[in-house]
Amino acid sequence: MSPETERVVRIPCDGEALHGVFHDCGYDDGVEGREWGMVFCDPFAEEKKCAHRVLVEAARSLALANFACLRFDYRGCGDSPGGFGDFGPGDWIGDISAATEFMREEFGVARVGILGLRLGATMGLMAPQRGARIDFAVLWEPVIDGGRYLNLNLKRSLIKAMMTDGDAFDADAVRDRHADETLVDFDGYTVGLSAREAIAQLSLLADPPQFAAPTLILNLGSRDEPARGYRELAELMDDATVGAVVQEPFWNRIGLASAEQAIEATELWLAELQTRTMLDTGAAEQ
Amino acid sequence: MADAAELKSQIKEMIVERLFLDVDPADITDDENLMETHDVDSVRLFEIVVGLEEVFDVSFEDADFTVETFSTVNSIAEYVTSKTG
Repeated sequence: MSPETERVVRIPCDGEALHGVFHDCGYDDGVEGREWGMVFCDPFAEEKKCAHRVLVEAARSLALANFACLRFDYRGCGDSPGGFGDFGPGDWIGDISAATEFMREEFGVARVGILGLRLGATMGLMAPQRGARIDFAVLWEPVIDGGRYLNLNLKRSLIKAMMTDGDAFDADAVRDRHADETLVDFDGYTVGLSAREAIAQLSLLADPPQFAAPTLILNLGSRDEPARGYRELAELMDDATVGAVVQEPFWNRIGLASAEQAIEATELWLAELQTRTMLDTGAAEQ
Repeated sequence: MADAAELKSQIKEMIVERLFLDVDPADITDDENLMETHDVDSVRLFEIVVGLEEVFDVSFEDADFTVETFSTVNSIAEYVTSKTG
């Protein structure tokens, strides 16, 4: 961590204090000038762990581009208080809301956006419904359908067990761990059944979020064109742009810590957004 | 449904694309062991499964998860054919 520009912060939220790291964009405390800032909305479970370093690099790059960034851990995750299985999407959407307010109140950031990855992008998009004021959003490979997300998670567990258990591989035992009555094995993380059900009910296409702010939906994968689901989501939103970057799924990789193309595409879109905002502001003042 | 050669060609292209392999799809032989030759581990196998579901519109059941199913292009093609043929 660079002590001059990065600092650990405690974000008040429902009587608790979330752990966060603030990446300043270079201005001193109290100096007017933190115009733009972004709250990072992490993915879930193993994807969060794999993506950690890339998101740190993204925050540092964006801070150099004059976007103050706030990374934080949801309740029950990382260094924040609570047990992993005690919380779910509803709580974490509230955490995102608390983090965006913290950016405004603690650091005086005028325009607060989000950068979300996978399930974090999905939850960030839903945060305004819980009162969050979000001025723009960057969504990296958002989860469109919670049911499919869970189904793929089960398949991931089946594959891991198949590859490691050899002759002892028991698909039924893996499936049972994913469907326990009270707790669910989510790729090695134990989550509450209510959290699982909340994720299963997420469907951005069937129940599109009321999100009017400028949004970039970025498809990250092996193809240079957006998946149909992302195009459909963009059409359902008021002001969304959809793009695609050829990028290995770093949230599924251990040891791969590069997302240069995704960061570059994000910074390009943000620069365009800044120009557009400046022109709109100028036109309004005339 | 594509013929057998075309199906195998599509599978090879999907594997190279999904795994970001730096090889020509045509250089993958039908019977080479993918796990040994291309270091297909559980993470990469997951990418192959997702690719097969998306490209060939097949859905894997629990019983389909055997190492043999994913060993070679031949075995994957056999699986896809059994699901779509």
